[in-house]
This record gives sequence, C-alpha cells and structure tokens, in this order.
Amino acid sequence: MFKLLKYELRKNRAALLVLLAVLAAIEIYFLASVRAGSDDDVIISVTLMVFAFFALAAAVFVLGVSAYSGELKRKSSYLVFMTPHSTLAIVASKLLFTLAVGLLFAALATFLLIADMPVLTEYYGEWTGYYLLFDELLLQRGVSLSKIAMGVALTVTQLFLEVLSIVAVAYFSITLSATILQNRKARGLLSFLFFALIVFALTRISGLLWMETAFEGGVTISFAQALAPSIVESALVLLAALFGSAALLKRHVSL
Amino acid sequence: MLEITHVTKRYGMKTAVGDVSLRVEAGRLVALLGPNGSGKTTLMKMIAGLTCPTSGEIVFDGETVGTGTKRHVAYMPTEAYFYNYMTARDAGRYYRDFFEDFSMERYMRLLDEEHLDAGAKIRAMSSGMVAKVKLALTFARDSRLTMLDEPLNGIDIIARERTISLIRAHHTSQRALIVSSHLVEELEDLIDDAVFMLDGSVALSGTKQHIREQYGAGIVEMYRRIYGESEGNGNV
Repeated sequence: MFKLLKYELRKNRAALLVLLAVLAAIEIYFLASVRAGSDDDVIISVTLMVFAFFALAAAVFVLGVSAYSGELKRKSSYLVFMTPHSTLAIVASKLLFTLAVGLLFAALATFLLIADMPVLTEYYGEWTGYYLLFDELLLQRGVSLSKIAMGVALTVTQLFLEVLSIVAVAYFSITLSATILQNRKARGLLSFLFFALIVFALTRISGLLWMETAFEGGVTISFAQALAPSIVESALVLLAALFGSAALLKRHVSL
Repeated sequence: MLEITHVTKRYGMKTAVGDVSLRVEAGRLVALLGPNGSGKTTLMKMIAGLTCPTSGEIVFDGETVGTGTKRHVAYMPTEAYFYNYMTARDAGRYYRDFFEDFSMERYMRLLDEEHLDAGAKIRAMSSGMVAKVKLALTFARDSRLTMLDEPLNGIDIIARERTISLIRAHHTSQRALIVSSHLVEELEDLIDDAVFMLDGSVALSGTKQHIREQYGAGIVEMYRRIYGESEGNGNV
C-alpha cells in the first residue's frame, strides 16, 4: 500500500511543487515587504498568505478527490488495478495520499506561522502588548499551556478526520455513480449529486445526535466535550465510506 | 490452469459477454478471435481481474480470479495506460515494484533490442513505440498466464514480425498465452487453439487441428465463414 502511496505522490509531484512555489513566493514577498518597511505590501502579503492557507486546504480536498476519480476515468487505472492489491488497499492508499498532503501543508502552515509571527509582532511593536494581555486573561481563567496544547491537538485531529471523512464520502459517491452508470456519461454529475445528498444527510444526523456543549470549567474541557463526538462521528463515516467504496469497486466497477 | 464457467458480463441492458465457458491449459497458445465489439477485451479484463463478471466463475490455478491471481497473470491492454510523467524506464520501475516475476534486466534488454530510449517519455512516443514498450513490459514478466489484447494493432509489418517472434519465444510449456486479434493471418501458424467470439458468445472453439479436421478449413477460412455470415456477406 505504501508503494501505491509513493506513486500517488510521484504522479502529483508537479501540482504539489506549484503549490509550494506559490507559498514560497508569498513568503518571500512578505519578508521583503517587512525589510523594505512598506506597510501596504506587508498587509497585502499577509492577506495573500491567509488566502493561500485556505487555498491549500481546498487543494488537499481537490487533489485527494481527483486522485481517485481520475483513477476510474483514465486508462492509467490499469496500472493500479493490475497490481496484486485489494480494492481496500487501493482506496486506502488514495486516502493516505490525502492525509500525507494534508499533513505536509499543515506542517508548512504551522512553520510559517511560528516563523512569521515574531517578525510581524516586531514590525508592529504595539501588538506585543495585546499578546501579553491575552496571556494574562487566559491565566486568570485557569487555562494552562498544556490545556491549550491539548485543545489544539484535538481540534487538529478533528479537522483532519473531518476532511478525510468528506474525501472518503466523495470516493464513495464516485464509486456508487460508476457502479450505476458503468462506462456511460454523466458519471461526474451523478457523483456530485450523491456527494451532496450524503453530506446533507450526515449534517442532519450529526445535528440530531450531538448537543452543543456550553463552555464551562475552562476552555479545553469544553473543547474535549464538544469535539469527542465529532471525532467519533468522522471516524465512523470515514471507515464506512472506505469499506463501502472498496466493496463496490470489487464487485461492480468495470475498468 | 484457467477455467471459465458460464461467465456473463452485462453493462446495463447490454450483454458484453454471455454465458462463456472455456478451459485453457498450461503450454497452450490460444487465439481469441472476433471483430471489434465481440467481447474479447471484456473477457480478458475479467480474467485479469479488472472487471467482475455479472455471473459465472473464473478460476485460475484453483483460485477464483482476484487479488491473489494478479501475481501470476500478465495482461497487456490494447490502450496506452501509462501516467503522463512516465518514461520507459519509470514504467519498468513501476512493474519491478509491484510484480515479483518482473525482470528489469530483461526489460531493458528488450527495449534495447527495439532501439527504444529508456529515458524517453512514453506520452511523446508514437503508437508503434508505445506498443513495443507495452510488449517489453509484459514479456519481462515470468507470468503463468500472459494475455495480449490486440498486440498486432497499430504497428508496421516489421514490428509485427518482431512481435510474433517474441510471442513464440514466450511460449513455453509452463505458461499459457491468450492473444486477441482480428488479424488472423498473422496468428494462424502460431496458435494451438482458437476461440471465435461473436456478439459476446463463443461461436466456435477448439484446437487448430480439431477445427481443421471437423470443418475442413483453416483458422482464416473459418473466420471468413463465421463473421462473413454474421455480417450478411454470405457463406464462403
């Protein structure tokens, strides 16, 4: 399965390099703006950076989904499906690819935040005072650094699982559409309709199951209470979509 | 070695392969004959585990066709099936990574014999060159069953002769070969058995000798009789 992942990364290397190059260009623009002392350029570069982070999150989804839908549309699918791998391993390798790209971009975004924040606070000296005030407020509410770290870890886990579960639902929709329409046209449209329907249904179900948690006894505890059901739900959706896609692929889809 | 029992494949209302039963033994070279749309490719894809039959069963060496049998079955599709970034060498590395029976050394030698540049991008190659890469990849495997889908299409007469000599060299007593084609003349001398497919079903099958004895005609002549009749061109 990891060999399949290796080829998935290799296949998408050009797209990944373009995204990284865009991010690097924005970072260079930001650093050059700070060095030149141009307020306008600093604001533009920071704005671009924020947009770039959102674009990266979208790119993770697009790359993840296209890695799978392309496999069912193109003749290159023979390369993967001729190998002695189960359909479960093939679908899982696509999800692993999405996770790997997501982790890569998340690590990069974290690194840039950590590297750029001191530069930005130094540039806008008055911001340091707000930071100190915020720290003081958190301490007064009894929130320690470890609690914040745990909250961040839970949030990141939940975010990744949610993105992966949505990608897995997209895989299931694509496979279901390919099962029904086989090699006929309009598979893309039907996939989108299935995806929209399933996501809508899941949103309704999660709205029925999980009550909103009030912020009591410290921010982190509330985080855990609110996020745990969501993490479990995303994990269940992910597994169901993964096994469902693999089963449909094995029995019904024809290349 | 390979046993196909009452296999049917339907796409919606259309039956691509209907109730086909066949048996292929090791050491046999089988020609799967028929015009376009007669079900040859679908049948091969089912044997390769790329398409699941709607009903019936395909068993290879005692195992139902699936993940496990893919280790021993080499299938050469008729289309180019490579990733855009791939050079001929990349394609070989891919096969080396996934198939234990693949010999990179033999593959590079075959490319060399065909005067192909291993560093050239496959997408930039002519269809004849791509056909040679596909053949080299398939014949660099020591598979128990090798299937070639239309290996003589889109190549010149010299390349055809070369392909036929490669098929001959690959034909051993341990291995079964299935070759699909509608270019029957080139295959007649080469094959042991013939399967004539018509509208998804087997119109006639048997050893070359048996067909000759029973119908008093060779493979080419039988092809004319079967498909000439079906197209309303009259019996020969």
